[in-house]
Amino acid sequence: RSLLARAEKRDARPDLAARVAATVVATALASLDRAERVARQFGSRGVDRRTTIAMSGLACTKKVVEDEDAQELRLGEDFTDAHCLSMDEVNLICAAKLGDDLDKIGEPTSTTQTKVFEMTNAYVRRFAKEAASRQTEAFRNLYAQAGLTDFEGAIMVNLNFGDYEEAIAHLPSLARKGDDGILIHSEEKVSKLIDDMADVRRFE
Amino acid sequence: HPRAPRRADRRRRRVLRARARKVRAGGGARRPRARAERRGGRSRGRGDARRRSRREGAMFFHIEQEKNIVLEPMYFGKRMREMIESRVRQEVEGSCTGRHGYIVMVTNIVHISEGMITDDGTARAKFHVKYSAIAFRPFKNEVLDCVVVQVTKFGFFAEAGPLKLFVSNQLVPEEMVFESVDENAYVDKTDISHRIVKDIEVRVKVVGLRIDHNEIFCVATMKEPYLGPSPA
Repeated sequence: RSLLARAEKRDARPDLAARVAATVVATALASLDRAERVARQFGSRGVDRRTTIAMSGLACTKKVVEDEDAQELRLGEDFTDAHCLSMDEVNLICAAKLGDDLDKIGEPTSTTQTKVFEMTNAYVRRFAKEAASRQTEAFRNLYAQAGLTDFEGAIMVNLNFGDYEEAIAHLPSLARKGDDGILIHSEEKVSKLIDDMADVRRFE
Repeated sequence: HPRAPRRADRRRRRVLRARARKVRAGGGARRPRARAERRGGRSRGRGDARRRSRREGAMFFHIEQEKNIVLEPMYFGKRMREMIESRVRQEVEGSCTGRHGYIVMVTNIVHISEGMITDDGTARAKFHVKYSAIAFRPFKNEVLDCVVVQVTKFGFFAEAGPLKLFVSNQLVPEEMVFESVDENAYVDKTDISHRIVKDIEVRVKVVGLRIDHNEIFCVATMKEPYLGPSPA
């Protein structure tokens, strides 16, 4: 707004200066409006800009670590809606990406040449059992039918439990009780699921 | 016009100074975060309430993220979309944030907004891009398999993909003792074939995470039941 006042004062001067001043003023006002809109957006959530920037520093890191605990099924807000993938599925995706690159372009792209991708690829190839897409689909169906959440199912596929005791030791959330005090997933159901998964692995 | 750039420069410097002042007051964010990131960077509201209330870590996730890409005018043209996509991939793939972990790859670009010309005096345009990516992030109390990389008398280092873990000798079961005969190893006194050497697969449980701004380092334990080297 002070820019606008200064621009008006300069209107007496040659045209070019006035036109440029007007453009600059217009963009300044536009950015002011945007800043106000952003501030209002944050303000409406009860968080002002300073707090937001403070949260983006150390406080955010600490908050993230305190809020999460895999055993109690607390994962933090970022992953509440995310789909969990097992190592077999990631193996398929990485292999598909490498295959696609070779088919379409004929040489590897920058995606597959990052250190993170190479290490992840080596890791899932080592630990994923001989995965076919039929197997991973079968696993997904099995644990979805049993009523397990994505992550519990992914861990079951990754870790390949032998029996109910091992499953409970690694996934205490499987032994959680509902509001009426009864186990949500009964021992027979979980044991059956473990056996079915072992069968899929053995016979497909 | 000779004066216009200087005015824009002055404004830009003023904005940067104010931002730096706020960062200093607010506790030291290392870089100004994009608005989308501050907001949480994700679309919310999908999935039923039951699922939302119970979530646990299991490493690989398929998440949606948002990012602002600023493009120079020389790329405005026929191949602008491809340029934006390649920029997103270059900037995001292989990176690591404390929030989402390691981003392994971008699977697809969901939406690219219209470009907004920036007001900093250069004629660049800012695009708001939504994309899905595969993220790799460990969580506390999660059990995972890893590969031993180095054994020392203080403990051993292992890797699970891009993630590095350390298991201290105090978190190794008492029956496994350190030996450095041919190579450093932890050997089970009760069963000599049960040993931890380089390149062996081990199942551990994450007990602590250190999240730096571009790296995640875990401390893990092997002292609980059903953990330890995998049978060959």
